[in-house]
Amino acid sequence: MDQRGLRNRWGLIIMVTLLVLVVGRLALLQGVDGAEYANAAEQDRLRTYPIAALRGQVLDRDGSPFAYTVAASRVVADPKVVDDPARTALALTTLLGVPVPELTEKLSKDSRYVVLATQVAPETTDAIEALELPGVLFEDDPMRLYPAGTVGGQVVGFVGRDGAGLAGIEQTFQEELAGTPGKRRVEVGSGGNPIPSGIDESSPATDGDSVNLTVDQDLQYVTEERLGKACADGATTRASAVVLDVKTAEVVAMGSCPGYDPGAYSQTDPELLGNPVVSDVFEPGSVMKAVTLSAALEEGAAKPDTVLTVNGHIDAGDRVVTDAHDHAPIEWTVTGILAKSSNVGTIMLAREVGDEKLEHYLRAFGVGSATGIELPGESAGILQKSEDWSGVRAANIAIGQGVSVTTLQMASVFQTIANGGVRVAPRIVESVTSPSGRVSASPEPASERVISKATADQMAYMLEAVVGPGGTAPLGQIEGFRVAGKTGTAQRANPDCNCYEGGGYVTTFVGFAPADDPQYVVAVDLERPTSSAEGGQVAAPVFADILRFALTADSVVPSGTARPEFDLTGTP
Amino acid sequence: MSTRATARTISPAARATHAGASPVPPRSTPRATPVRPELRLVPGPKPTRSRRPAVSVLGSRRARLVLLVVALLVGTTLGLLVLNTAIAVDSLKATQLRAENAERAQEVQRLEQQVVTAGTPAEIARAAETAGMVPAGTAAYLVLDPDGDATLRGTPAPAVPAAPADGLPGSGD
Repeated sequence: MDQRGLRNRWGLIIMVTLLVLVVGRLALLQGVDGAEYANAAEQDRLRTYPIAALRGQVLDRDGSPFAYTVAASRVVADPKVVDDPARTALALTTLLGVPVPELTEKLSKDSRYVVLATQVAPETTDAIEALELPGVLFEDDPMRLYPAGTVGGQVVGFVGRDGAGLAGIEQTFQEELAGTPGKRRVEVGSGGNPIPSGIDESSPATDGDSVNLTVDQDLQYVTEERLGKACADGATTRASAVVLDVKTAEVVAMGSCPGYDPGAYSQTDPELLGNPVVSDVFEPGSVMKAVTLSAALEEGAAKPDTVLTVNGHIDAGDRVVTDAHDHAPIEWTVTGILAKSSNVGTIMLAREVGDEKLEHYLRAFGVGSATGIELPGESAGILQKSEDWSGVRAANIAIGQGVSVTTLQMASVFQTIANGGVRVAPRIVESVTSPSGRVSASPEPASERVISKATADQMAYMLEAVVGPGGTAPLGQIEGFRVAGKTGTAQRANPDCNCYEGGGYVTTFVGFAPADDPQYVVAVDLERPTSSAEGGQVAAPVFADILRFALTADSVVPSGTARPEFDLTGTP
Repeated sequence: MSTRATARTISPAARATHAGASPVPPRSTPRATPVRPELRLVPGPKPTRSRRPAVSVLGSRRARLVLLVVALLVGTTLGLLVLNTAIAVDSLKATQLRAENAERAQEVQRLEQQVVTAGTPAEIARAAETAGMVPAGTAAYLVLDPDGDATLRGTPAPAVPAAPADGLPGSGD
């Protein structure tokens, strides 16, 4: 073989070897590991973004919104991309309502992400977009609106920064209202833009369900307006009211002054962010005489026309309990005892019933246990077991002191009487509607007979005497209707001395109308630490104004029959 | 195509030199070198018709093939261009429509908000008061019997007019 042939051969061998190496590497990369690399690259490009679910609405019984969510944006900036912080801040200050120094400081920070403003309306973001400022970006930040303002605020509650309910219905129905977020898996190129022909899969979000309340927004407004007037009378520090439908025990209005606007909860004193109607307890005073007398009638211890000789004072344990004003013995009928709100007469009747039975009736009427209404923070109130009642406590409980209830519990007692003796558990949510329109009604509330129909009718008869001539609450009357109710003027415990001295009073009035075919129960209580005015004077007018609107708005036709003549006194 | 054969003769001496053999001394005899044939031009054979079609068919078949391929290439490129342009136009239109949609949705949201706000009891009360209305008192009802008699139920009372605003000319105090 000559030299040339040899060189050729070697050259060929080297080239073939190189070629084999390259092809082999290519085969390895493309063939063997190819799938792996392609996969890794794809994973690198794939991003998963959450798709926010639209929060459900909270509506009143007619569909008027109490709370709903609208689209809004969060204005953020990447300070590294912002070219001129001072000029950008100047351009944005009026649109965002943020002062220039604050904006400039944020835009000059050593960060890749700063939040300039939250929950900005779409019109404003459009205006900012038009300015084409570099480094200014937008993120979704849905805004919860409460169009009714303070009306119903305590019932509806509010949502925190992360969109979770922190009070009221927003809290108890957080799961139903929130819905389920979806997600979107998409291939993005550099700069985060989706690649048009790449993977783009999304599972849609399930929007939240809407909650339909039993509350009537108009009656709620009137109730809160009237309570607001009461709170402005100079002596009332807190006033609460609740309106129940007699037959279904649905809450048609529930409010307390001072209330709050859920849209401005962060600017409100945290002490005011609760719902006193279900969480604040107080000693009800004479309104509880309705329970004592119901027990006496039901147990057959007396009838409405039974006459008792009632002294002005009575011994109870080591104390003496007097009527509101001490007096010589009076021959009162049981009706008279209720109409005049005689403590002594009531205690006499309570003693006929006995402590154990009285406790049973109190508990049957709902005193001492939570109603189970769909609101957070409900208090069960306080009712001691009858074995623990001392002599003076037994007497006190009979007249509504030494026991604690909420406004709602008081209303529930009178709902039972008005409903022919059958207590229905109060509730505030009628149904929940899914985004597809399917309505799930709340389960039927528990109902229980507490007193017989006959006893309930007799109680309604006697309670009418309270607003009649000779009763303690003529101001509770509503022209054209027959009204039944009971006043209360309970001593308020003084937190400074833990005694009743100087604590002022909680004045109450609970009642229903029309007395001969009850439709609505209204319970009102006013906390007046510095006043001794009676329930008949301050609480009864508030009750009457609220109930008048409820009856008129619902077109309740009065029966036209006259109030019966009551015998408040008699011969034993 | 006719080819011209070029005759070339190599002298024996040159031939010998080519072969690499020892050079042959030139003959001294006057005997002439072998006679070289006379070269003259002869016309080549005339190209026959039968050959031309064979050559041109071959040519046009190739030509057609090339034309076809080029046409395919150009056609595909043009087709792609048209498709891409169409996609781009549609995609632009889609973006435009989406933007319009978003604007409309925003407008709807704004109007819905207006409606809801105007329907709240506080706003209605405000609007009513501005229009000079007063809240109604208790209603009274005329209940009709089957035989046409009307019974008044409740206590009708005229609405109390709103207190006149201060500062109106001629309003007294």
